[in-house]
Amino acid sequence: MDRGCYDQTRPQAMKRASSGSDHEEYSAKRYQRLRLFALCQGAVYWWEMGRWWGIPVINPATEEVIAEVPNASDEQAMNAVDAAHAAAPGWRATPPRKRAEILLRCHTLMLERADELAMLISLENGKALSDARGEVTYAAEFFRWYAEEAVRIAGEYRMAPSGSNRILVDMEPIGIAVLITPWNFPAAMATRKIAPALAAGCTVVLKPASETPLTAYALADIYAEAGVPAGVVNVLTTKRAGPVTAAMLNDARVRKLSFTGSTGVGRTLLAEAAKTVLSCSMELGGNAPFVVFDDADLEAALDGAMVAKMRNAGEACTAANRFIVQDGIYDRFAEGLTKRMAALRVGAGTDPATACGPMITKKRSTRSRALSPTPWARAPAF
Amino acid sequence: MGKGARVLTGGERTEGRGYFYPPTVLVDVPVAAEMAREEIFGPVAPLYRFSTEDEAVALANDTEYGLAAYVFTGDLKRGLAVCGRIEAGMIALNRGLVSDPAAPFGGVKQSGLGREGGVHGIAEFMEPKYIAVSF
Repeated sequence: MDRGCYDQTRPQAMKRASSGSDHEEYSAKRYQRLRLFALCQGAVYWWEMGRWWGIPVINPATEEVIAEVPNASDEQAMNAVDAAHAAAPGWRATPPRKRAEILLRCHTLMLERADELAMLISLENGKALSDARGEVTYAAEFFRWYAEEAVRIAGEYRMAPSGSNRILVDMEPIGIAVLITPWNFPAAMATRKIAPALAAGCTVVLKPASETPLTAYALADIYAEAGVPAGVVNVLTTKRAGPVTAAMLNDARVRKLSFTGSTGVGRTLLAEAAKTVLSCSMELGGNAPFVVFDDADLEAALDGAMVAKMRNAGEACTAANRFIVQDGIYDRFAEGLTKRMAALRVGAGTDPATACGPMITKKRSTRSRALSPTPWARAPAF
Repeated sequence: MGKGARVLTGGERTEGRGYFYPPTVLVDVPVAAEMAREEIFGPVAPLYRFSTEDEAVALANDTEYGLAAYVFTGDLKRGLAVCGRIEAGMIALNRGLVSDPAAPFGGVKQSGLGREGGVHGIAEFMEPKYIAVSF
């Protein structure tokens, strides 16, 4: 496979304080073993030119800068679209069975490196290692599922009601897709978009959240190793998300936007996408009710509540946001939930004993405090 | 959090390095509270009270969002009926986890457009091309 456009230069600034416990040293060591690079023709340039580096990645448990990733310009985003465009005919023509085999290898490699990926997710996102491992399994499964779907894309062939002709419907790949993902599931939100896009025969440009770009780059490494051709998946990071995204969405070669993030940012993106009448898939905010009736199995409801609320320390769009509990079970539910919540150990996600890691940013952690009498703050954008 | 609400555990940001916030449970939160309308995105569990099924459904639907929902009841008939009335793209009935790569993930109302995962997810990346054929 041609890997000429991949540069394997390591990111700079992977300094961590050397003090600390065994698990911290272990984390740092594992982290430095990861090869990080971008799967994009433009990326070679970014990695070589130090001046393009500009986004610090912070471990939210220690507030330390653990890496720096490139801050792409509009022009570099266009390079990524160029790369996706150049790779499109070849990928579209790749037989579904071959696409499926490549996707299946992505699944296998992700599981083989589950521990390494989980540690990286935990370092940059803060989530507990058990959550991070669960995410890797979940994220990898999208590759297996869509490997299975890639070979079952069906069309239609039937007689027109008038009897004068046949109706033939072919399902075609929609074209270049821009994928924008949030920081709360750095692996799964990427694979949930990349796997179906690749299965369908599309090439993509992924813009992961600038808080958690390392997992996206580490996964790009895996895709290349699995046989995804150059230019099929392009990863770029930028601090100027608005203008860079707009530049890509306004490019006539781009045909799809798939976004996961807040409803506020989603509205802005939909307005931008309207200019070119772009097909949009939007996974936006939630406000999940968790309804408990008197006749519920209390223990099962409490078990469910802990998963629905505390998976990812509450940083999930599906997280239970409102516990709506019937009169007769209210006090027992409140008592049981309090007991379980108070027993959770809060700490760095990379510590195996941790059940609840830090919030992604300071704003987030102080925002949780804003629960007190002050008005509820507006959900910040991803 | 408004008048009348009480903190049963947590509630104060942890001192020191790192962006930590403790798991928090709040009871007797008024349904008109700001936090009933906004996405918390943190380890905070506010409890609201209801008496009748209609009241529960009305409370559940009193939001611009419609992504996930959870329902717990020992009566499966009622559970499925309530699931039918809740405006959400995904509902977990008697369990706390709804996400599955093999099932359609997505929301109604202002929670989004389209679905990811399942047989639906790949359709988001395809377009039908229709050819009328005479021969």
